[in-house]
Amino acid sequence: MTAPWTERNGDFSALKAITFAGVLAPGVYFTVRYFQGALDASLWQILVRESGLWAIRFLMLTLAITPLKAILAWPQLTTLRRMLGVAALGYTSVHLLAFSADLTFDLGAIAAELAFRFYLAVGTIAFLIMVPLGLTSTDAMVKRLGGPRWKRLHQMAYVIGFLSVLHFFLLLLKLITPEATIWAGLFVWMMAYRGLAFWVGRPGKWWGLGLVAVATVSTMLLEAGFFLFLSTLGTDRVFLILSANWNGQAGLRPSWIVAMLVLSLWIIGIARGDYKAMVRGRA
Amino acid sequence: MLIKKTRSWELPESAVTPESVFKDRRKILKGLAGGTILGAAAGPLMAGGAVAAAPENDPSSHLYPVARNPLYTAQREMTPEGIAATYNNFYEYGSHKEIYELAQQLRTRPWDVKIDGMVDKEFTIGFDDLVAQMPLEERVYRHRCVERWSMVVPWSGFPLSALVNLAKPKNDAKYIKMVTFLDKSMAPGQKEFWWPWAYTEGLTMEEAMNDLSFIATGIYGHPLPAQHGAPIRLAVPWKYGFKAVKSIVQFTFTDERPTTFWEASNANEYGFWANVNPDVRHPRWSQSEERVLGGGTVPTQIYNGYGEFVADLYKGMDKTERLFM
Repeated sequence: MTAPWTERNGDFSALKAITFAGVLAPGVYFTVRYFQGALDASLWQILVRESGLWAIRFLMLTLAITPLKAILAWPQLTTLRRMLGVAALGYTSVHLLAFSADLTFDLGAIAAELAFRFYLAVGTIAFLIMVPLGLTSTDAMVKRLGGPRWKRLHQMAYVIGFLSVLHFFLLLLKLITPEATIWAGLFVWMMAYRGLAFWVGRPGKWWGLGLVAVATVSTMLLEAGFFLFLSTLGTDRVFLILSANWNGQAGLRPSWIVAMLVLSLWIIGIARGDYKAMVRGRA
Repeated sequence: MLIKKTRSWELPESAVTPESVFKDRRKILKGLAGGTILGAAAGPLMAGGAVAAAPENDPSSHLYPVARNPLYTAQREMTPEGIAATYNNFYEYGSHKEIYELAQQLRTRPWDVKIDGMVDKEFTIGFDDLVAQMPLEERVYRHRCVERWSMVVPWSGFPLSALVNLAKPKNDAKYIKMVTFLDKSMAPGQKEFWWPWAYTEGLTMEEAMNDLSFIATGIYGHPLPAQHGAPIRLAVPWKYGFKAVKSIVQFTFTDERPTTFWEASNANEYGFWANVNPDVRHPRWSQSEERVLGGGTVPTQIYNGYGEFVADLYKGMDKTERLFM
């Protein structure tokens, strides 16, 4: 018998058990909060926001598995990918359901909103691509589709990742949360890592450091670009946003968080004498 | 024959919080707070209830509760205080709704209010001196946030017109600009220095003199807690909530239309007028309905249902003005 907390051979896996508990935790937490009455103020709007946040977190973790296992030389991480991906789909479904409930299940209104608001359309497309990936996530479906075909299909996860980050980014909740910028920066890093591994070959030490720089600078530029194109703050103030990245007056900036995360990974990679487990074409 | 026409903004007696409950509210809140201490499993909402209670040691506490003005009622059930006090926008403290804890960093004394610009004589007055000479009353107002949620709260305070009369503006003053405090040592959001702080809002003089324009200094029969914009904020219920500027330190009379905080930040979505209108969509969502905090969805009304008071203000106005965003 296999379960979410066992290896394929049925042995207990602490890594999988912890991850399983982790993907369930937000659901449990908000269920408890619900019964405490803490979501009473605006149940559906709170659930839309929270389920969306957890959906993108688990989706990004799903996409992070490949670079992480290579850099950390930790192949067992692969066994977590399906669970994380299915969790992302689960929270996305709650997200969409709560959104529909917020519009009192008025199907006409829901369809119109999803189709004609760009940021919602982007999110909807991401969800529509996620569904077949979720449905084909079982061992039986992998067998039925055959490895290469299944893999090609599941590479659509990159598109989902892109659309989800874009959806989060365009949400503009008067205006932008740092988390959207952080995920955008980390997504750039993950995809650049894959691109490098695929077209150039496994990123060595110096390529790895280059990726740290790319991710950090991308985060700064994405944030500033967001304000430049989607706000009316004006270029002077957009330069102020850029300057916050080095003058420190606004405290911890998204670019610093991205830099710290990917730099620590790089250091761990070096320490493990690794940065080479990524094999060409295995992205 | 006397025919009493019920105006749409009038509240049926049945919807008003019973006076016994209202008078016992401190006891009820204390009960909640007690429960928080006693019950090990007490949830965060209970903590919220404690936060919602009257600010401690507020020098203006003795002024409240004040008599309710029966003209201003809201047609809807009052939002429970614990909910109204734990679901707030206050960008000086963050862009999420649970800012009530962070907002407790706000220091509300000493608090000076400056009155300047096109007035007979500019002056600065301490908040407690100001509120002492104002005619205090309670008004139950609906509050409609541009983000599609709404609540019904009993504000205590005074008509903005009373403050305008105290200020004695010159005849050529056309606008009143209202500005929030600027002090990043008690408002972490203001460390994000690229925003057009301090938060600025404005009304035309005609709007400011309208009966409905209200300066709130209290809520639920006690001084404003920090998260509601203590110690002094605006309440203009026919406009979206972001117009209701919090924690005001300055009223400037001017003949130039002020550029507001949100107009400067995102003019594509937020304008100077911001009158509630269910038929004018926000670029990212429909405004036709609103979620009532505490449960339920209701249709949004033009001018948030206060058209009888304010619709005339906008008659014959230049068609290019974006009155509803």
